[in-house]
Amino acid sequence: MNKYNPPRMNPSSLRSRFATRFLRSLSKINAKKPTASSSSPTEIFRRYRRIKVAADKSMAYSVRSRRTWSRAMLWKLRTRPCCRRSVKTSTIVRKTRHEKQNKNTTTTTGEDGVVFGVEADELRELVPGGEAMDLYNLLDETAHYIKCLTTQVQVMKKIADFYSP
Amino acid sequence: MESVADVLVKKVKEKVAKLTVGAPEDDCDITPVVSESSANFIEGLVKDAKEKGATFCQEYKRDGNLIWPLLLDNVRPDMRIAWEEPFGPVLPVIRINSIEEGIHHCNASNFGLQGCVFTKDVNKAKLISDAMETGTVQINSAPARGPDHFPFQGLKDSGIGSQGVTNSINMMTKIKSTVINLPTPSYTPCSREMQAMNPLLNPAQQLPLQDLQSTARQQIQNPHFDPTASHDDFLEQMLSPLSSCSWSDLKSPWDPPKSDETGPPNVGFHYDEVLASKLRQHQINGGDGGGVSSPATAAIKMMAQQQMMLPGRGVAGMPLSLGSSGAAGSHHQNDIIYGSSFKSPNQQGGEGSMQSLYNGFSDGSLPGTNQTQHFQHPQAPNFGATAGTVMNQSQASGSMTPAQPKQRVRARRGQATDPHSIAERLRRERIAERMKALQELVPNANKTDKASMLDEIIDYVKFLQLQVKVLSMSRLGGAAAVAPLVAEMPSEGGGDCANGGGSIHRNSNGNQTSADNDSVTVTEHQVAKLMEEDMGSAMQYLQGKGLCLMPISLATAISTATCHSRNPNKGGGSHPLLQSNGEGPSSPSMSVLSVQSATRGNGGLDGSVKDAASVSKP
Repeated sequence: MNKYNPPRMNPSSLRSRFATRFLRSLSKINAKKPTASSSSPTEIFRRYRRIKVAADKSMAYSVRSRRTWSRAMLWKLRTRPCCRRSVKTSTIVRKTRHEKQNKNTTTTTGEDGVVFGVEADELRELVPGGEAMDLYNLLDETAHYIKCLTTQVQVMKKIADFYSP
Repeated sequence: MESVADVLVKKVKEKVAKLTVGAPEDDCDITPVVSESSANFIEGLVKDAKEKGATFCQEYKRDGNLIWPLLLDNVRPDMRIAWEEPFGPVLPVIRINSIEEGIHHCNASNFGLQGCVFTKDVNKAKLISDAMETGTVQINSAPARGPDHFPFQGLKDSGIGSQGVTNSINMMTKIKSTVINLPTPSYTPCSREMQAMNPLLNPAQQLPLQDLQSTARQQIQNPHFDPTASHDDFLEQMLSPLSSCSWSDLKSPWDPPKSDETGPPNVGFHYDEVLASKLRQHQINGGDGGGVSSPATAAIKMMAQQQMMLPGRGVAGMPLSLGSSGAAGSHHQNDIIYGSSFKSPNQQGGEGSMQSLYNGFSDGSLPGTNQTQHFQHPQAPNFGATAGTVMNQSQASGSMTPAQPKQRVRARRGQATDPHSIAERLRRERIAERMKALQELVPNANKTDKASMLDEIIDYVKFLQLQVKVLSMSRLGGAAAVAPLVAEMPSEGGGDCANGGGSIHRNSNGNQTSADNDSVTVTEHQVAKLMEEDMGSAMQYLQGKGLCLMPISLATAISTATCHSRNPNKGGGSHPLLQSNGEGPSSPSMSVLSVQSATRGNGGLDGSVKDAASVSKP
């Protein structure tokens, strides 16, 4: 199977890192599944989950632990209840757990301080690891997260594109 | 040394012999020690000294806990009694040959509570006491606690800290600062300096004013200046082109007692017109911007007033209380540097302060009328300070180019300069910065309102996450296959669950169900195109096409499926149908992304499966 390499502007760019990782995991998933036909919705759902998890994980790994959200996502992935991988008690896990326990009770004040309360909370739910961040960092993380998500979507689209007959 | 020792021992022996020994009820000098173990301890020391050859001036006698006084002579450092305190009536005498030997023995111990020096020579006494490492040194006296107000402490192992009235209070006191934050600041950093100066009514204190013209300085410094003669000169100096006096003093309120007003105001009023005219002239000459004259006039009036007041009040420096009467509002207290504001009212601060001055003066510019305001003013005492220090600041700044007045952070009107507010402001700015950055990332983000901006961001993040889910769905059936589920219009969809089952089947087989429906195709194309360009409008298009229910159900279905891995089964909208006939792959240009929400585990085929919208992209 040809590995589809997206145009590389930068060999170590986020996009290429993510693409390589994701393709690798995709091939692993394909290798795992017994037959091409898995009719039950369960199977399909499982596959979907696997793929999604693979995508998320690839993205998070591409970002390493530089960002709070990536750390939180990795931690989440590692300690999933139905996790198929063994839970590694690595330093990353410990660190993120510690982070998660440090919930800052920050009041999102400001000129329109009152306004930020609700939306900020919603944003916190969306961005992994957002609960333990104050507004400024949250916005920072959101920006990076959006950037990575767009990369992820683009790469996945391209892959889907490539493989569609 | 020997002679001293012999004489001393002889004298002590005589005194010891006179001591009465017995029970305390009998008012005896020597009474039993506190406990048997203590008595035993003392006996141990005495025995040790005896073994090592000390000279016993009396017989050692003990009765229970009562020990007779004992003087031991020729005690050497190798005996225990030379180091361990007996806490009983035993007195060792160590004979030394030099002062250094004595000091050395004193300092060699681990304890250091008290020491005594007996000498007639005060120099020796001081030298020895300085060298002794003890908490207290008594000169020509036995060890004692007092005097009471002296600190009492021990060095090394003899205690921690220091006793004594002051010391004990300090040791048991923790400083706590209470900060009362007024709605608006009552001081500026410069005002603090001035405040320190202000109470000191020496001419020498008027250091900030040194930078003024020399003549002006002289006049200012002379608190008893002759108002008549020096006034005009001073005014000229103040208004000279090089004058960099800060007119912010003009806004500093003064806090004079009303009594001061009585006499001088008359005089002041007299000079007001003179000053006003002079100022006007000068301003015209200097080409000031319009609108400055009246506040400046009033300011000068204030100045004159203050000048009059100076002798009376003995306030250091006229500018200190300049114009303070006029500036009633507390908002004037912000450190607005006038710089050479009269010359360049364009300066930001200058304008503002001019305005404030004007406002203040418009209430009735003459100081007499404004006094009542000041009495209510809580921050009055500080303002005298404000003036001078601000002026000082403006000196430096004024000496720079007038176009560059800022030397430190200038607060805008109504804004505080205390660190707390500055930090808050910084924080807000940073957040605004971040929002701007986010705005660039999010398409369609042309909102200016922060709240709606956040909403946009949230929607976009949700949309992206949704896309990821959709895309991962599309991988089902192998990397080479893209699930070809076709969205259908709600009108065409019949909520057919059986079809859903079939479609799943097709899904897994990697077949692509062609979108035979042209309308659907068109829709999909459109949506796909829109997706490429603009996510927001893509969604809107979907919604507009009547697929509004789908995204909702899609979103909920997916979210519930992923989050809870449960059957989402939202009753909502249409079921986009899959083609019941499994045709071959659709056109290559169409790769369809579809999302399914499936129940976990069981019961999938019984209609609990919903096919959500699929979006195609070319």
